[in-house]
Amino acid sequence: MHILIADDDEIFSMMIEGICETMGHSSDVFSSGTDAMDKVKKNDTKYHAAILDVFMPGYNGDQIFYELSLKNDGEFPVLFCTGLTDSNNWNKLQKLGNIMSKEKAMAGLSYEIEKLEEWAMRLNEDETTRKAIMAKSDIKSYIKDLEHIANEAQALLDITGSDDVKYEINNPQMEERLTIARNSLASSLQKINI
Amino acid sequence: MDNKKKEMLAMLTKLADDFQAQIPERITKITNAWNDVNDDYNTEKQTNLLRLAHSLAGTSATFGFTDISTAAKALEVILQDINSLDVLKEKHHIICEHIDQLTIASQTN
Repeated sequence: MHILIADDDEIFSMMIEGICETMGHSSDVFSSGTDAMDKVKKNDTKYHAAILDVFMPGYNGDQIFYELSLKNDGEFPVLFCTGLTDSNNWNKLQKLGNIMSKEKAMAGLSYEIEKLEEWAMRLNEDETTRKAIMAKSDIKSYIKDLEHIANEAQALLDITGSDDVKYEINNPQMEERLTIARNSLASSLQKINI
Repeated sequence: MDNKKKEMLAMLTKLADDFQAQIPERITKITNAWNDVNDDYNTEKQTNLLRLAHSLAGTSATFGFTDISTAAKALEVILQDINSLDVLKEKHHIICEHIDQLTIASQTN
């Protein structure tokens, strides 16, 4: 994922950036609401998610979130990471996205980033991609069964020492699994028009 | 522990050390900002002071400096109520006390 990070506390944003990097995500870091908002308005970079402080110079995190949402068809994966503790602010932010207290960031940020990733994946996953993923899983299972059968056949050839052996599946369970896998594969391929 | 976890732990430990080294400077900034507000009150200066207290409260909580976080949070809460010079005058001594408590907390952490 490519993540937009905005927090006016440099050490805190370095921590978020470091955790994102360790988890294999890239990021752009902004130390004020103004800089983050300028970048979002330029609209020259594709972000998959944002981790935003709430109380910042220029623009607050929720204002940056609204701009990101506008640029992304109304929904955008966001984590508000805040030192604010009053319930009014929390209730308001919870309606917009995920929220965590800075106090819990050291222990809990990795988990929250995983949640953001799942959210971003769900948004980016269109119908065809989902069908292709399902078909891939069916194909994998089909190949596994074929490999099993091939191994059994090879073992039979090794035992008889002959190239002229008619191999028959004599395991009813395997026969059944193969039929199911074959049907499932055909159905999946049909769904994605292969 | 796998390498990624080790890497993350080392990074977090370094940032916590860096933050600890910054605490005196951050408290000096808060004291200076408070003096600024007192010398010539305006909402921009007050927002700056509030932001410094808020930031210290949040990040010290992140790195486990609980006493500093509690003192900075108490200061932040008082500052949120200040919306005029009159209120500032009224709460002056309480704010001074909170800034003193913040200094004491930084010495005990």
